[in-house]
Amino acid sequence: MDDRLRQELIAYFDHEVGQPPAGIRDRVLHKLAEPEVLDRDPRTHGRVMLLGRVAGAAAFVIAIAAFAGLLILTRLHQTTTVPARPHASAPPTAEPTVAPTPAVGPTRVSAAFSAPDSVPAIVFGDPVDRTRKDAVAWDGSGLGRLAVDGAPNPAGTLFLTTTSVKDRQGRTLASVAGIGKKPPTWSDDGRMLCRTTPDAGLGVAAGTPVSLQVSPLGGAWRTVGQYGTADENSGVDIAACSTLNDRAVLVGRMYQGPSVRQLWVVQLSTGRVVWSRPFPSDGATVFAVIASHDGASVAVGRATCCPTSAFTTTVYGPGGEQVGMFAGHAGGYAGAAFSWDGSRMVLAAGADETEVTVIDVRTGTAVWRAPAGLKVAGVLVEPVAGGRLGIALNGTGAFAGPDGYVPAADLYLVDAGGRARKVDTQIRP
Amino acid sequence: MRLESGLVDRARAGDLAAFEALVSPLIESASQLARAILRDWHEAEDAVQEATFKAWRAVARLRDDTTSLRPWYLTIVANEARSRRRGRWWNVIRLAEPRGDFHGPGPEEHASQSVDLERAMRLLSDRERLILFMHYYLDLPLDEIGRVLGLSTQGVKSRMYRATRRMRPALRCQEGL
Repeated sequence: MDDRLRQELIAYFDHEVGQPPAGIRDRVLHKLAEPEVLDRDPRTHGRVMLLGRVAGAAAFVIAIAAFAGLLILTRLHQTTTVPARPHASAPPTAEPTVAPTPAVGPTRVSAAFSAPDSVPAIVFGDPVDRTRKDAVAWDGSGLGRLAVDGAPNPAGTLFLTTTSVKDRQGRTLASVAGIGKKPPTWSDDGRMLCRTTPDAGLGVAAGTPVSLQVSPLGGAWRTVGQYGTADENSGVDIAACSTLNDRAVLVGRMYQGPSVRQLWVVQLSTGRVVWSRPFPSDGATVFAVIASHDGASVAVGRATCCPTSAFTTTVYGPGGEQVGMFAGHAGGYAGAAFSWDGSRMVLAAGADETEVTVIDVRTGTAVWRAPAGLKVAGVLVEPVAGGRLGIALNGTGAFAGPDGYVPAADLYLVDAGGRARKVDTQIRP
Repeated sequence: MRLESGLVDRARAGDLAAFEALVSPLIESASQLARAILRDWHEAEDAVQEATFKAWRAVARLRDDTTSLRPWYLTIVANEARSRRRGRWWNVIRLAEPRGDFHGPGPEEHASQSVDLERAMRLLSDRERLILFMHYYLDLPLDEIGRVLGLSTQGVKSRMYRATRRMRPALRCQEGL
């Protein structure tokens, strides 16, 4: 390698990675010196294993706290719905129906979340204290802090920790066994858990079959069927798990590089494959797959490779038929999430994904357009037919800002007609 | 880094201060490695935190002939970071679209070169990018990179060669525009 390229690589990584946040060494060592950690004498294996689980739980909860706000409650809960069926599509052209209001800075949320337990809520990280979790009802009311941590179910009413399911008050409702490195996925009714096993990892022999399993809260895991294989660097992820519609969407992918190998839509009750689609490496790379909560609509992001170009997002219907395609734009497309009934999709287009729109999937027209220059940091989905999309927008998307952390984002609640309301507080993705 | 055998012995015996003395100089490099995998400092810090716990739990099993703690510790960090990346809860399509106008160079040469390199880097697998990162940015020797990634030294070398070969057409292509 010549010196010029070497220097350019160093400059590239300096920009891409850079220096760690100040004090990281002290924080790591300080945490290590806490009493419960000190008790982990490496000579006492049994105690080590037990406390190891505690440490794993702590890290897991921290990770959940970090991610839950940006998360996609794409598999949310409650009402059985029949998705609107998309038809032919065209590039988005419509103008926004409502202009968003100006942004406000992060403010500390101090009051307790006040909405009743039965009311679906948006759960997110506190904009000031990223270790805390806040919530707001979908109508924008009840904004406040939660007394629980963990991964929320689609309605934001139950929370999965490393060992149990808790309610909003932090009361344990059920214990959950067998949570590995890859946490289970909530089903769309918020009352079941779904997982694929084994996860990719060291020691997983090539060709190991992957099982889809489901479990009621506190119950045993039931194997639905086997789909695809795992090894050190590939496995099968869940894009949707719908007990309401009796199907799941599974994605077989390589983890070294953003490459999807196969897509399966399966029936949960029988294990039958409803439809599937392989994605051979024949010049077009499938980067990712998203699905509506019920698995009836699936969007696949592709690009020709290499160099990458000709980005498209193709939408498939309940039987695997192609019902729409977004293509022809000068830049890329990034489908972020479907609305609950599958009739709307958040689409980020443009060379730097700053052309964020909500699309009517049937017509291909934009019903709402985000303020220019902002990127999608996360999408949340209201779990009702015709429900709103909660779109978190900031200047950097889901990646870290100059301070090394994903910055707080404005949250826009956009209904099916394109009417938007910005929530009074920013959220921490 | 040469290990001080006294420190290792003390760490094996449960002396946390000795363990801290061994890993402290490695934490910033480890966090950069985790950041390169996870692309988020918050996640990277969590990964390093957990990896350091795991290293502490495993230090008693270090082999007697261990001469450098760095590849052992960075292996734990890399595994933890990769596990976390696989376990992300969200599922967002993010197409790897290069920044800037794909059909032409930007107005400033420097910016254009940066975009070209970014495009070229996107042609590589994550593992290839990691190899380049560890070698050119963290300045790790090839044998240590191999230990971290579970590859032979020759395997690292050949992947680095293939990576740079694959990058060159994209860079040449941009130069020719």
